[in-house]
Parts: sequence; structure tokens; C-alpha cells
Amino acid sequence: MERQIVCFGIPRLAVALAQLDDPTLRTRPVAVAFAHTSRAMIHEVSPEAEDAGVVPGLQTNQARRRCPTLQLVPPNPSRVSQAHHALMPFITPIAPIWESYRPGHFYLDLTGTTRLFGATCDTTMRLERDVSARLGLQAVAGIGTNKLVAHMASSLLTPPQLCDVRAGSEQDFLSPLPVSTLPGLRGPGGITLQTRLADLNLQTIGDVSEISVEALETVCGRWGRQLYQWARGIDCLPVIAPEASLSLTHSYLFEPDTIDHDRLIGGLSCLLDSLCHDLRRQHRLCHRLELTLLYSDQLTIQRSSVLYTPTHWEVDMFPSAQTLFRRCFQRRVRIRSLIIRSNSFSPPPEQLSLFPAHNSDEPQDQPRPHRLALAMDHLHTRFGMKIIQWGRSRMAAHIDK
Amino acid sequence: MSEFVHLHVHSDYSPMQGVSPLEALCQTARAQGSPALALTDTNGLYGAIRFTEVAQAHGLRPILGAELIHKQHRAILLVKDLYGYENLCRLLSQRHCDAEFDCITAVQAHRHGLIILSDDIPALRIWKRHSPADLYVELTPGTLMHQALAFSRHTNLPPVATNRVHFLSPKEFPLHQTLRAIALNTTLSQLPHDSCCAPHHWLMPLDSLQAQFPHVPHAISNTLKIAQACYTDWSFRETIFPNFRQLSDAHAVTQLQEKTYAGAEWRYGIPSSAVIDRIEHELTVIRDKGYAHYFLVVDEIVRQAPRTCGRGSAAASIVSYCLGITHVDPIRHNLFFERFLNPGRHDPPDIDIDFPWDERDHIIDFVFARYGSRQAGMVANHNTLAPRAAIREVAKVYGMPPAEMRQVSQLLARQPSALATLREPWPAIISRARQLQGRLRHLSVHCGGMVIVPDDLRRYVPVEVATKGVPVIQWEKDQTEEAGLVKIDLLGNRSLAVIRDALAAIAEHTGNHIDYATWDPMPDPATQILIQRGDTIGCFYIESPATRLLLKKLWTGMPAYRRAQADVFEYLVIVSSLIRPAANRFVQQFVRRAHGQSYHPLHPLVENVLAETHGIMVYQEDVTKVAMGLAGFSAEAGDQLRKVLSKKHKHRQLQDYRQQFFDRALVRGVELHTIQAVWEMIMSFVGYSFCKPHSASYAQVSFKSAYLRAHYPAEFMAAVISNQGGFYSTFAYLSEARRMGLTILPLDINTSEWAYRGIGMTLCLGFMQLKGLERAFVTQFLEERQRHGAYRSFHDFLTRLNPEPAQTRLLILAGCFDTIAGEVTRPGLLWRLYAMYPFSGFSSQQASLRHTPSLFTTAPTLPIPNDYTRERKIQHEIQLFGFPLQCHPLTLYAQHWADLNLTQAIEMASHVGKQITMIGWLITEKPALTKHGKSMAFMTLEDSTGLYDATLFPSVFQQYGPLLTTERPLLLQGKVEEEFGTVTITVTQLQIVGQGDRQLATA
Repeated sequence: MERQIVCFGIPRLAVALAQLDDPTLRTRPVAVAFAHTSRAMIHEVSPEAEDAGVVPGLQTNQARRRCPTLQLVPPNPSRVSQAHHALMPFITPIAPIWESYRPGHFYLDLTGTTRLFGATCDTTMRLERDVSARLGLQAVAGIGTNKLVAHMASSLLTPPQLCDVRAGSEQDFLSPLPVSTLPGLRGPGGITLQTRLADLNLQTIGDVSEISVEALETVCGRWGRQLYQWARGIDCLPVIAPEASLSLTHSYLFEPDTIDHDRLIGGLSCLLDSLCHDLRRQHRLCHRLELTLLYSDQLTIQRSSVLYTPTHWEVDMFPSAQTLFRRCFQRRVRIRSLIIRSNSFSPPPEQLSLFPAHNSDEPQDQPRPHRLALAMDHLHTRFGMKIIQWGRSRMAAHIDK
Repeated sequence: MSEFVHLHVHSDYSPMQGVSPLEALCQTARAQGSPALALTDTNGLYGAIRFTEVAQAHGLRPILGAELIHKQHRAILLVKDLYGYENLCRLLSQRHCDAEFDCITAVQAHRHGLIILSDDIPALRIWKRHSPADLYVELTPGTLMHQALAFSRHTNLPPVATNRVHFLSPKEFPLHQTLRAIALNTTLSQLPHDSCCAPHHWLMPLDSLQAQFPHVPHAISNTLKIAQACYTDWSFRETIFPNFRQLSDAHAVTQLQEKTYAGAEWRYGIPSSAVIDRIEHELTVIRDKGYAHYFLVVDEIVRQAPRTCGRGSAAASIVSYCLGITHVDPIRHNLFFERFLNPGRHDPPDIDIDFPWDERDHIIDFVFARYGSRQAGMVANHNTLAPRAAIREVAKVYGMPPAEMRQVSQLLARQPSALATLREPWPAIISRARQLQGRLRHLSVHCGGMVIVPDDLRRYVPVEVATKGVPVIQWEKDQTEEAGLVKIDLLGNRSLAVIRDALAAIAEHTGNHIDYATWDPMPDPATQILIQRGDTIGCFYIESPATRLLLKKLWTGMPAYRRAQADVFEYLVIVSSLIRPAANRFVQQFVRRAHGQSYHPLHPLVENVLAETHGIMVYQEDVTKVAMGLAGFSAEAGDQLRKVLSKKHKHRQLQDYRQQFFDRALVRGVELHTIQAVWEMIMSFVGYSFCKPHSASYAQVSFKSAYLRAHYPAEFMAAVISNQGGFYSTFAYLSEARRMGLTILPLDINTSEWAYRGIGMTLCLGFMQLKGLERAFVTQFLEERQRHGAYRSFHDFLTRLNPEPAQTRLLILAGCFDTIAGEVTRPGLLWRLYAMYPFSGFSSQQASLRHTPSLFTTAPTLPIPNDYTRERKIQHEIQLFGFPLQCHPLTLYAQHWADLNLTQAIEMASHVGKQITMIGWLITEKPALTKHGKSMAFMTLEDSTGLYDATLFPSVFQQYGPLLTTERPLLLQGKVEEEFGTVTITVTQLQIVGQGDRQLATA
């Protein structure tokens, strides 16, 4: 059976929400960034701001220089999260499997649903219409036989558009697009490969598709076959449901950017709090920790380490995280954000009790820091992560010395 | 008078530790009533000479010393007598030069003449066992004081109070912390606590300090006792000459005489009586002043290189000329020996010699081989935190990203007023950077200054070992000179290498051998015309826009009758001296007078003195002469005034001289406004200025360069670009070469060399132009080409060299294989190159796998793709060379001004007084300040027809200054002005080519 994958999303979600909440912003250049500091980074921009040369990653003072009429709206993660979750009731009824790759953006695997809901194209149009009517948000959707084609299709659109790439026409669809638009070539390794492809005068995906797989493998190594397949619109990656997600990621954004050691360690501690809270909630132990530092000049450093003893306790994980941080933080340049990721898990090795204990979450034989963490988990679950924090985590929000 | 003397004080000469300058320390110590002050910088006497001068000026007795720190041991060493000074120099030298240095044993061996203060208990125990004399236990308020005090009581060693001063007041502690963070490459939040001194280590007054020592009052009184025992009568008046081959003074004079007369025969044939009289006069002064050894030493050094340029005042000496140290005939050009050496001069004048820049290191090696590192040493540069460096370093401590630092730095350089527009944390960074400006950062080696002493250099000054392994003394040139050490400057000069390389190429291509020593290009008409036109890009010292413009103004507008009489060389000597920052306003006067405008001399008393330069003070010696003529200064006082003008730290002395000058001139009946006018002209010599002998020496090299440019343009331009470091960028030189009619040939694997090559009317690019290409790789394939002939194909190249793929990629993209690739395009060559390497990088391990194809697979057929488009090839050229080679960069933007009514550079002269619009590529930009301190800029731009000059006056500069860039074309609108026959555009509007240029042109 042919796969029917939809890439559905609300482009520039944060801007769209701001414009939804304040209609006067609709035709004006808008950017999402903190306004209280000139060094804050632009997160997202409206098309009008983009036309004026404002792009994400720019500092607000530079952005204002480029576009004096720019309207700044502060990031509102809870509003974004709320909108993201508001999309779920529209998606879950029609998609047996769905995967969110960023807030407001989903891959939907609608394979085999035609007899239930009608043609994928119609289902997707209905979805777009419903979301627009009920939430006031304009979406784009790309339909293809795999995630690559669906993603490429959606990336060419402006809301509220839909692009359906029929089976068999994938290669023709991709052919005129620049090779640099392939999502797989955007990472650090991909940039090097892009340079090589440019050297070989392979400018478009069509140029790549004309080369034999052997020749591509000769000059691009293991990437050769992958490129060959991408150029023909072949992508076997499945849509992964959230419960099968293979990693947990948390990030901390410093506004403004900072080089204050206490703040940085505070941010790291905040990340560990969130990560360990999720790990404990999912009854997972972390085996491998990966830390990414984004410097203010956009340079990214990533280091990872295997934990000697798998754990989900902040107190046990903190020394390893600190060592990772030291390995990453080798430049005297301010840090914009920290991202922590765990992508290797196992269940806790503890023997389950035959009879449920009265309070099984807080066994009295656990060390005090573990018991404290469990107590904090209760509070976090009930009142949110900010209701109680470790002292060092509070330092993250302090003003630079 | 205070009953306490600070005996442990760090000034800003303690690299990246001390905060306060000597002046402030001495002033405060004096205000506190201290009779003396010790300077104890960390492991050095970096500011010793300056300290003695400043302290004496403030009425303090200067105590010299140092804090010797090595590993876990430390001690304050104070000089008790002159032998102690020598010992201190030896100890500090050992500390820096001896890998096996052991603080305790070294101090024990050299403690004679030194007073030791320390709280290092293990060291004190050993030193006490040796002798308790002049040994004190240092007590400083803090947690460890009680330990030191207990040791003092236990051993009966006398205690002495210090406060380990690192700054004047407690509010300067953050500056100290910032310095430490800069030094340790860290941030303030990560600065280890033990890397800083304590916040209370400031220059405390006696009452505050007494409060810290109520239990040991004699620790305070002991400071006075020690201060009285220390040597404080520093004068450094004795001149220390080198010794030539251990000759006696009489033998040295005889040998110098013989060599001078032999040289006179070589220079003049049969010397005239004037020559002989001059030689005899000079030899007498040289003998009386004890300079014979010095001349012989310099003579021996100069003989190591065939092409040199003796510069500075030494060029006024006929003895130098006869020995071949200098090349300008002082009699023919009327140069006065007294500017170099006279019986009344106390300070030791030095001889400066230029060598081709790439030969200088060999010459320095020769000096060390001859005299050894005990007798010879390099003079240091005191690298301080200059304004831009201070901003950069403090910004690093604040974690600012490099690109932002560059941006702010450039913005402030162009527009200091932009500071007000900067947002946090920049104002804090700039404020702290300003407070830290001028702090000593580290020593570096002066580019060519050397000192040679007759015995052991470490008796006179502490010596360190520079990174490149040569011994370097702890003083910079001014302190070296003031300490009486005679300096020899062996400097690198790129133009001498340009001349050398051009002469070699000319000999190779034409068989015409030009002998540098006897070559006299001055009468050559083509050279004279070239100089008169100001077509001197590439020519030594006269290629800057300002000089070229002055030459043009001078000669273009000069009436024919004056032009017929004027000596081009003499005027070139004047122009070389006149182009200096503070003399701008006198340049116009000079040109008018050179064109025949009558003028009134400044005063009849100086009429004759300045007749040669049309009544304008041009040369350094004019200051001396005018001071003597107008104010009745003695020759020595006049010469001192001349020296003081060129020193940064002599502000106070300059004020004294000003007062004397005014008083004496008034006494001699000179009117006040005349004195003021003359003093204003004297002040135009502040900073840098030249004496006539120096300018004459330089003008001679300029003439030689101009001769080569006039007659052998390709060889000359190739040598200019290859030796790099000229006033302009390579792109500008290549544009000039095109305007000179030369054809530029691209790189070719079989014909190009590392350096540029010029033959006839063609200029071939050198591999040196290719960014990222390694010299060793180029040498490898050039040697292979020489051994086994030209490369027949790309495959032949790969087979013969087994080259690094990343390096080969650069050659392909630069088109080096185009002539041997046949039908294979550049991307086709890259397919073949990449086919030999797996994708994941270009490591050497992978490189070794490239010739082991699998046994069972057949190699796929590789495609031959279309060649890159012209635009991509130009893009590659910009990436690889820094500029497009096959077209002018302006042509890449031609669509932006297709409909505009533009004036080209060659048409400017016909638009004088009109508003025009021009397009241009910025070649050079010279920021300047008006007399009211406002920023403005002079620019040289280029369009496809030639170079032109533009001026941005303050109001326009403030608006458009930030737009100036060398990366994109500029569209200018302004008025064409003419002055002395040369035209410039005074800009009224400017923009980077892009949006909105049409509106500007139609406005």
C-alpha cells in the first residue's frame, strides 16, 4: 500500500498567535523577541519583517536598525504550547500515527485511512479549514508518499495552501529545487557535503538525480546512496509516535545572553531539573547525556558522555553535566542557550513490590536528595516547574554581575 | 614628613597586575609626605629609568627594586648600592633566562648589595642561616601576617610593614581584576581568587597603615631605616659603548681612519680638500666622543648585506658615507654632521640601518654570533593595551562575540561620537577599557634595536628570552637610550627587497645588471617626470595618496621658469619630510611659495635658516636652528627641544621649553604673535618628524624605486606585490598594473611561481596569492616541476605528487590546471579528485588509502559536468584571491548604475566646480581630525578609468562614515574642487551601491 504522509504546520506560529491576539499587528513587520534588552535575539519574524531584512538569530538592536517600524512581541512559550495542544483534537481523530517535530508542526501518517475519511487531500483540506475556522490559525500542508516529499512540499507554501505530490511524480517535483533545500543537508555534516556538491557543479536536486549511484558513492561516500534516494524522492523514515520517541530534549534560553558562570550553571541546573522530572515521570533512566551550547555568535558546540551509572536523579547527574559543560564552554563568548538531550534509556532496575506499598513513590530507604526530588516532583506536577527550584537553578535568572 | 615609606609597590609596569601609573603613585606618595618610594614591579625593572626620573621630579628619593617571584618562593629585593643593582639585574635575568633557576640559591648567591624583604618562611630560614644582615620579615595586613610575625619574633629577624601596593585607591581594585582576567584568558566570574591581590592592597596613608600594626610599631619605623639604607642617587649619565674586537681606543681610531680614507677613494676617486677637511673634522669629534668602536661595529654589520640604507641623522656623516653605512653624499646635499654628533651632545645618538626585510634576521644572527648573547641583546617593545586592544580585551572578559567586537571597534574608530548610541554592556566595557589603556601587557622584541656592551649585558639591565629565542632587555628604546646604552637599529625595509628582487629579475630577463652601490637614477628624465606626475604607487615612501597629491600639486602648478631650475631630488627630500600629520596646514603655504609666491620670513633672525625650504620649518634640525636663532638657545638646548618634541612622556619638559622659548625670544625683541606663530610651527614636529639626512636617504631609495617603475614596470610591480606590506592592497596594485598597460596572467601549474613574476609587459600571478595554499606544498610541486619537467595532465600531477586533496582543490578552483585539463572542466577535475577520497574528511590516513582500489569492483565512469558559470568563477576568484581577476569588481554591480549619469575618474578635471555623481571602489581611507577635533576622512577610490581622491568633511563623515567599505562599490555625489592643478571630489552624499542609488542620482 502507498504511504500517505502529510506534513502539516502553522508557519511562524508565535507570530501568528501574536497577530491573532492583536489584529493591529496583522500587516505590520513583527518579530518575536524580548524587548527589555538590546542584546535579545529575534526568534521568529513575520513575512513583512523578513522583507525588511530581519531574520531569526539577529539581535534586536540590529533588527531595529534594519526595520525601524519593527514591532517586537515577547516570546510566550505557554501560549505557543497551548496552541500546540489545541491542535491535537483536530489531528488525533484523523491520524493513527502522528509525530510533532516542533511546536505547531506535525507529520501525519494517513496511510490506509482513505476508506474511513476520504482522500488524503480532502482530509487535509478539511483539517486546514477546521483549524482556521476554530482556532483562527492558517496552516500549510504538504502531502507525499514519505516525510521528505511532504516536508519539501509544505516548505514551499504560504498559508493557507496545500500541495499534494502524487505518487510517481516525486522526482519531477524535487528536480528543480536547489540541493541545499534538502532537510538532511542542514546539519554540520550536511554543510560540508553541500560544499562538495557545489564543487561538483551539482546545483539542483535534478543535477544529483542524473548521476549514477556508483558515481555518487565514489565521491560522497556513504552519503552517496542517501543522496541518490533523496533525489528520486525516496525516504523510508517512519512517522514516530510520541510514546515511541527516542529522546528527551530540554533547552534554556538566556535573555540577555550571558557569560556569568553562576547564571550558566543555574541554567544547566534548570535543564537537569526538567529532564530528571520527565525521566522519573516516564520511569526511565538516562544512559547518555548530550549537551549543546549555542554561543551568541551562533557557534554551536555539542558534547556527549555516557553516564557511568544510569540515573534519573539531579544529584547524580549534575557532576556529569558539569563536566560536559566544561568540555563545551571553552570560548570566552556569551552563551545564548543550553540544550540538554538524553537519547539512551532503560527502565529502573528496581524490584517491583508484589503488594503496592502505602506510598510507593517515596520509599523511606532512599537517600534524602532523592526523596526531596520526589517531593518536588509532586509540587511541580501540581503547580508547575517554577513553584519550587533548587537554589543554583534560581541563579539562572539573576542579573549579570 | 611621614614616618613610613612604601617599600613594596607595583606600578603599571608590573605586566597585567599593577594598575597605577608612576606619575600618580609618586604624586600620591609625595602628598602623603613620604620621603622616598620603592618601585618593586614583578620580576623586572621594566620602568626603572622612568621611575627615577618621575620620582626625582616629585622630590622623592627613588628606591629601585623588584618583587622576585618564582614557583612558590618570593622576595622583595631593594637596591642598597650599585653592586646590588648589578646583582638585581643578574638575578632577574637568571629568573627569566635560566630554566634551572632556583630562587633560594640564586638570591643567596647574589644578595650582596641588596636588602631582602619576604614572608616566605622556608626561604627566610635558609637566607638567615647564610647571613641575617639586610634580611627582613615582610608583614602585610591579612590572614598570613600573624604567621610571619611569629616567625620574626621567633628568629629575631626584624619585621617590616608593607601593603603590597597594586593600585592607588580601593576603587581601582576592579581594574586589577579585569587585568588579571585578561592575562589569564578568563572572565570575571571565573577568575580564581588567588590570582588577584587583596582589595586592601592600595597606597594607604600612614595613619591607615598604623592602625593595622598597633602590635608591631617598629615594623613601620623599619621602613624608614631601610629607605635610608637604599641607594637613591640615580643618574645613568655614563654612555656604554660596544667594543670592536677588543681593540684599544687608539687602535680603533686608527682603524676607523684607515677605513674612512679607503672609502673616500671609493666614493670620490681623489678626495677634494673639502672632503678631507670634513673627514678630519668628523674623525676628531668621533675620537673625542669615543665613538670609533661604534662606527667599526656598525661598519662590520653593514658589510654583511650588499643593499642597505643608512638612515637617521647618521646619514649626515661623511665617515658613514665613506664606510658604506649610508649612501647620500653629505657634502653634495649639504647635510650637517652636527645634527648627528657634536661635542655638546650628551645623549648617545644611534645609527639606524635598513636591510631588506627578509635579510634582517640573518644580520641579527650575525651580531649574536659575533658578540654572543652575554654582550648583545635586542631592545624591547613595551606592548601596552592600546585603545582598540583595550576595548577588545575587556570585551572578551565580558564575553562579547568577536564579530560584534569588530563592528563596535570599527564604528568607534570612524565615529568616536557613536559611543553614545551603544547599548549595554558596551558603555561599561568602553569605560573600563579607557581606564586600562596604556597598561604594560608584555614585552616583545623591537623590530631591530640592538645593544652591544663591552662586558656583560646583565650588569646593566635585566634580560629575558623572547619567544624566538633571542635575549631581549627589559627596556624599550627610550629607557635604553636614557640609561646610556648605545643602540644600533637594524631595521627591515620591504622596498630594499623590492629593489633587490626587481634588479635580479631585470638581470635575468634582459641581461642588464644594475650595480646598486654605484647606480645613480637622479638625473634620469623619465624617473623625474614620473615623480613630478605623482605616478608613484609602489615607490618607496612616496606612494601614499597624500604624498602623490602633494607631488602633483607641487609640480603641476609650478611655473615653467621655476620648474626648469628646481631640483627634483631636493624637492623630494622636502616632500618626504613635510608629509607628517601635524604639518598639514603648512603644506599649502609651502606649495604656493614653491610656485613663486612671495612671502615674509617668520622673522629676520630666522630668514637664512629657513631659506632653503621657503620659510617653512621642514626638518627636525630646523627646530634647533630656529630655537637658536630666535630665542638664543644653545645648540645643546635647541637639540634637547628637538628631542623632547618626539617623546610622548615629556609633556612637562615641553612646557618648560615653551616658557624658555617665549621668555628668551621676548627678551630678544621678538613680537609675541611672531613667537606664537613660530611655536605653532615647532609644534607641528610633535610625534614624528625627520631630519634632512634621513629624508635624503629615503628620497634616494624612492628615486631608485621610481626609476624601476619607469623603466621596468612589470618586474617592479611583481616585486612590490611579492614583498607585500605596501601601502595598498594587492588588488589596488594589480589595478595600477593594468593602468600601466601590463597584462595580468592567471595562475598556471606549469608557468607560475610562488611569487609574482613580471616579464616585459606581463605580470603573472604567484601561488602566494591563493588563500589557504601552503608554502611547503607549492615548494614540493615546483621542485618536482623543475626536476622532471612540466606536468602533462591532471592525472600526471596526481601521480607524480600524491598531493593533499584539499590543497589540490584550491589549485583546481583557481584554474591552475586549465591549460593541461583538455576537455575536462574544473568540476570534472574535482570529480576525479574526489573519486580518490571517501567523503568523511581529508585525513592523511584516508589519503593513504586512495591508491588501493577494491579488487572486485570496477571504477564507475565519472561524468564531465558543464564548467562553472562565469559568475561562479568570479565568485571563486573572490574567495581564493580576495578579488576578481577577470574583471574589475565594479563590473559585477554594473546593473545598478546602468541608467545613471556618472562621471568617470578621467573626466573629473572637466567638471571643476560642478556637482557630479561617481561610482568607486574604496582603495584607501585615511581618517583625520580637524583642528576642532572633529572626525573627517580622505579617501582614494578607483573606477574602471583610474584613481581619484575624495574628501568627507565632518558633517558628511558623521552621516556617511559608517558606510565606508572596501567590499562593495560606493556611489558618491559631490562637488569637484581644483587646487594647484589637481582635482578632488568633496562628497556631499554617499551610499553603498544597492537600494536607493537611483534616487540619489536623480535628486
